[in-house]
Amino acid sequence: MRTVKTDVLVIGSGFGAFPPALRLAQAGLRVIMVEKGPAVDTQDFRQTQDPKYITRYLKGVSGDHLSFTFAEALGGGSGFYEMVSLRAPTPVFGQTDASGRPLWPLGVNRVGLDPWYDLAEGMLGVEQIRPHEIPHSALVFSLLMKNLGYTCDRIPYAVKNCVGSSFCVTGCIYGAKQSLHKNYLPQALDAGVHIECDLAAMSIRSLRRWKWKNPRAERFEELSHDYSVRCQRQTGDREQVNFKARCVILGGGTVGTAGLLLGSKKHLTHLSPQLGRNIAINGSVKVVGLLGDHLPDGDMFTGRSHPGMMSFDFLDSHGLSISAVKALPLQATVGARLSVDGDPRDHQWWGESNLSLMKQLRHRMLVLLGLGLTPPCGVMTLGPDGHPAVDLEHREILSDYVRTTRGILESIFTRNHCDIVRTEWVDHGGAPHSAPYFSTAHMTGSARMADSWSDGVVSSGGEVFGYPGLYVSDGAAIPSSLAVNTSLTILANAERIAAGILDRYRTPSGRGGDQIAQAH
Amino acid sequence: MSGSHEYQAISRRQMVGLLAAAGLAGCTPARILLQAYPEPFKQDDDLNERILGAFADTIVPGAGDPDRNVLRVYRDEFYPFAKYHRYFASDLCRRAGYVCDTEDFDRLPRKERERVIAEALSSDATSRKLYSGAIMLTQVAFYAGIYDDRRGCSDIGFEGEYQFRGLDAFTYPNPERFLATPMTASGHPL
Repeated sequence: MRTVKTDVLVIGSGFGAFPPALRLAQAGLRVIMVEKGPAVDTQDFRQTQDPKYITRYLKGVSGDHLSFTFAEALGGGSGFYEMVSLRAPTPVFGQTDASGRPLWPLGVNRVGLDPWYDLAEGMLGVEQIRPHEIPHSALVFSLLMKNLGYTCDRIPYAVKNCVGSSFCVTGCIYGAKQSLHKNYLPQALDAGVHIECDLAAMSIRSLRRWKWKNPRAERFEELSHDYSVRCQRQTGDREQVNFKARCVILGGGTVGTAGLLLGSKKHLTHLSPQLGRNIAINGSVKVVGLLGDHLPDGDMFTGRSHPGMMSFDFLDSHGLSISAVKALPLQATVGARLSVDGDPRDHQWWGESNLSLMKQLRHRMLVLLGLGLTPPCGVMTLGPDGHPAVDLEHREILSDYVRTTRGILESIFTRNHCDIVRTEWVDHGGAPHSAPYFSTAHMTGSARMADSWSDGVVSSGGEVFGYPGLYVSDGAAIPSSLAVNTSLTILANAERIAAGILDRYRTPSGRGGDQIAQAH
Repeated sequence: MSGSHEYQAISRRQMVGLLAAAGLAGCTPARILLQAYPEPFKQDDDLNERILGAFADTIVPGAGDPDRNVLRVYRDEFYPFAKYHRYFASDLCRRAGYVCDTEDFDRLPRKERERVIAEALSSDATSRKLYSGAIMLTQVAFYAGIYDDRRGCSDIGFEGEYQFRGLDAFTYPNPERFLATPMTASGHPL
């Protein structure tokens, strides 16, 4: 096995990984980034519905009540997301658990994050969508809200010169999406970050022992740590590479980071018991409607994948944001069976009646999405084969949430004289999921930030409790649902954590990272 | 196709054990693993194609047309179903035999074919999963046009790869008339 020494090893290459890689390299450290998935860039993207292409980059883990989707590719989810770049609203940071304890650690709040949001937005080139760029679907959604006296906002995106092809989720072939390939990646390469793709981190080992300084006070003796990270090529000769670093930063996403830490528990024996628990799912509930004849057409197949408008009217009262989302044919057929309430025809999810319904998909169907402040309730474990499994706790609370949210979304349709399309969510074999069922790409918190080891896995600075120099900077650290898309918050928080890492190792001489460098 | 075929029965417990071993319950009826279906379906590609074509056409009218390139999905080894498509064709005929008194599934009128499929979907859990999976594959191949990025699916107005028609094509003129009052200036919730 080849052994490589470096100052900093960053695992993953998405929104949570690139900020620390870039900032530490800019400070003069030797930074290596490893990415499990393949290298991919604009020229590799395709406008296709072919599952062979899509599953090359997008992966999932699924249980009876819960499914997570995530990307494994250079740039993480940034190549395949919908570019919505929203700041988490203030109420997010005031959430508490069932016993009244704040979910967010002291000092991490909207005001504190705003400078980091500014930085992240500047890096991505985030801009609010202009009225003449709003696709049909979002204009119709806005009209529904306007008819009912609700507000609706034009939301910010990380995109430039969008042509509205609707294939955002398979990668933008026009290079309009301001994914990390356009900003952080080239800057990181310029700063000297060495990136290796197709290389999965398998386990982390602490090379020096640590000890409790005062277990009751949950304080740790901070020893000088080195870490050994065993990695393996995912294709070809399955080469194994061992990295030794004093600073290891986990940025492989909520599933990847938790999986790596769970798989390393026999080496990192004092990880918090909260690891893999409290996964926030951002309360995604979808309701499909058929537009009444008096309303203009939407369009599922053109315009941005996320069409541009969002209402925050239900944020204070129900912790909900509401938007219209779109579905290409693959999305409309793989995950759901559609039928119309009250339609007496048999076999509505297949056969002639289904074809007549599908003919309305493009122009007459609209999907409303509620994202909400659901409690952290996902649990991830590793099976004996090392594969992750997910489950859902607090199902009664979540069932109530789904019922209430569906009621709100359905009322938006029905009060606008639209019919409801019945939706039955099914797994990849076509079998119905058990209720309540949530499917999301917004999962966070599997190694959440907290003020103490007993409440979370990492400190507010992202450092794993008990393991100096081991950090989590991705969605796994975000301790709650956000009620909006998560990417900008993950990026901003990663910038904040990166600054903290630099401060930690900065010497009085001012050259960042000197302490790490001296260790080698 | 005509005549009847002998099917080797196994116990439910054996079936469950085999399904667990195979790990893909939706597409692994135990009988398939035992290769316990009639010989013609193992050897006659045309027979399988005709039966699966009739099935596809029942799920989505028009999907059985060879030009639509849908039948390929049943044999595509990317999907676990490929290993079992011959069994599936034989099972359609077997069910047609006791639902409609003829095993010629492909010669049945649409309504009768629907009865056969509905019967399978309301029978044991393994059959439900197998048939649900086959229906899903058919719909994916047809509506999403997965074998031809340029073609899409004209039946539902899906044009496949984006045909650029100018920026005005995806929005409405004077969009302000649709816009509700905003809550924020920046689009970010406070």
